[in-house]
Amino acid sequence: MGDRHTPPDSPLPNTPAKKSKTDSSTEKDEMSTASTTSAPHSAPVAPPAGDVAAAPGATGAPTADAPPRVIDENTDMSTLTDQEIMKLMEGMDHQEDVMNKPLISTPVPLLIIREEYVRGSPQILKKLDWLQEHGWDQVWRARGDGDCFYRSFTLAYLLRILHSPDPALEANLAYDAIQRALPAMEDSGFDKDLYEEFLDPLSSLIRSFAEERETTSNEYSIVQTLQDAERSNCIVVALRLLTSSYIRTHSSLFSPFLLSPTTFLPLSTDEFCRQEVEPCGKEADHAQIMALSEALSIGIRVAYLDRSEIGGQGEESVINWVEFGKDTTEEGRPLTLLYRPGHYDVVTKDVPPKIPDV
Amino acid sequence: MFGNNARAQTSTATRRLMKEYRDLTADPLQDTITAGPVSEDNMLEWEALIQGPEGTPYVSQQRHLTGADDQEGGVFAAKLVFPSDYPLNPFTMTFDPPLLHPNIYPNGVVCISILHPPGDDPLHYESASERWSPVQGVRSVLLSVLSMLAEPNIESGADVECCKLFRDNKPEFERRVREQVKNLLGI
Repeated sequence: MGDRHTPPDSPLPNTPAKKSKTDSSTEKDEMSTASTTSAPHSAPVAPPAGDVAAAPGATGAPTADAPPRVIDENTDMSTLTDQEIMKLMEGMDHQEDVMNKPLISTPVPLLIIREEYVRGSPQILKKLDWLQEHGWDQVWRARGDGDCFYRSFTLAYLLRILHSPDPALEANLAYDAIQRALPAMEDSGFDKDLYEEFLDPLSSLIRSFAEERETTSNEYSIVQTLQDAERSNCIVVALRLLTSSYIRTHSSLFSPFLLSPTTFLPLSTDEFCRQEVEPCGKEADHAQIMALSEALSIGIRVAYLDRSEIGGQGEESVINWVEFGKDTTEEGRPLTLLYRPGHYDVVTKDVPPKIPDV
Repeated sequence: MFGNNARAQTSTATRRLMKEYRDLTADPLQDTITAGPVSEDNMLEWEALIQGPEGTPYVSQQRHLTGADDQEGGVFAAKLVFPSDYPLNPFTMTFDPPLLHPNIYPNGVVCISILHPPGDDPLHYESASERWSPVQGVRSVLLSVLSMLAEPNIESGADVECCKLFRDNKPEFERRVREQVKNLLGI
């Protein structure tokens, strides 16, 4: 399995195994290598045909007819063959699989996420089990398109209103919170027409809760709205602008933490907002989550599903909840997100919590 | 059920483009660029006219050829095509006829980071460059194109041959651009 694919008759001296982050031209070179090595298929001569038969064996891949194994978050990276790595790299370029998924899903049982980790890290399984035991048994999956934090936030924000003891009141509070955040938009130099246009779908959803319209105030219609690309993306942009304007107007607070996620070099507030916050498809990190949480005065708790071993005897310490915003107590009904490296989903309890279970 | 929210995608784009057009007319971009819809019926297709920036080979060298002191620069036409979900996604910009430049594909399509759709990174360059966001618009893109004409970025070129020429033999690159500009102007 661990054998590295280095065909003895490889026409190129460099082994594809070295490739971790190559530019597209090298990748093309390697593609052509692949096609040359497979060329002997058509050759009537016996020895090359033998080489062909040997090649798949050397990679540890199943025979040519067998379907390729499933590679997911759970796969140990060191077992990947070069063909598999190449396939994954190709996938990164096209992302068609990702783009065909719904923007946000109806809830799935947490057990389905657990299924993905069954053969994986025991630490992660332990954390998933803890969530399950404590009632966090529903996951609403956001599409992995770089906007997953903002979309998960929207869903959790709307569910919070829906499941509150007094949805109409909560909706009015949410509406006020958005209105209070608007001056910062103005101060950041965003055009009023621009941000109002993007905020409109979110505002009208919240208004529909305030008016207690039965037709729109249910989980199904929230998901339906957030699956509609135009409105969903408008809301993502609106939240990005809210986040950006909060960072811009609290520059001194944020500036020490504004780093480029690729180079880790400090960025100016303006650079950070223009490069990492405002464009769609850019992942949110702590700074963005903190800013949005503060901008809308809403607590956020993020359950980190990483491989860290959280010691201690107390139950709370099994999973790492990273908290943002002022009120993250159970009474404050913070938004609860599930974080796996590079991705956010929403995690909820099936029954809205009424009695704190701590 | 969603009647009050179901706005046609084009209408969002159209409304936004109307506003951009109004703003551009009220406050023109220096006086080197003009841009506007080709016809009032279709806001999703614009034409831009861009004057070659001073001090670049994209300024016509007419006075050197004729001896007359004529400062008239090269003016290049480009087509801007907006997607129906603009401004969530950027528009495309195509010089017609194509312009010889390291960051313009031989078919005339402009390749700069600010015009790349969100999440799309065809050149695999890192995030240090400015990306499209709905905060951008025709004005900011055209200004970027203007500075692109003045300062080609061969790190992320579109026309590879042209990049090589620019890097290895700049005088020849400039000569060819001038020749092209001359032809465009019909001199």
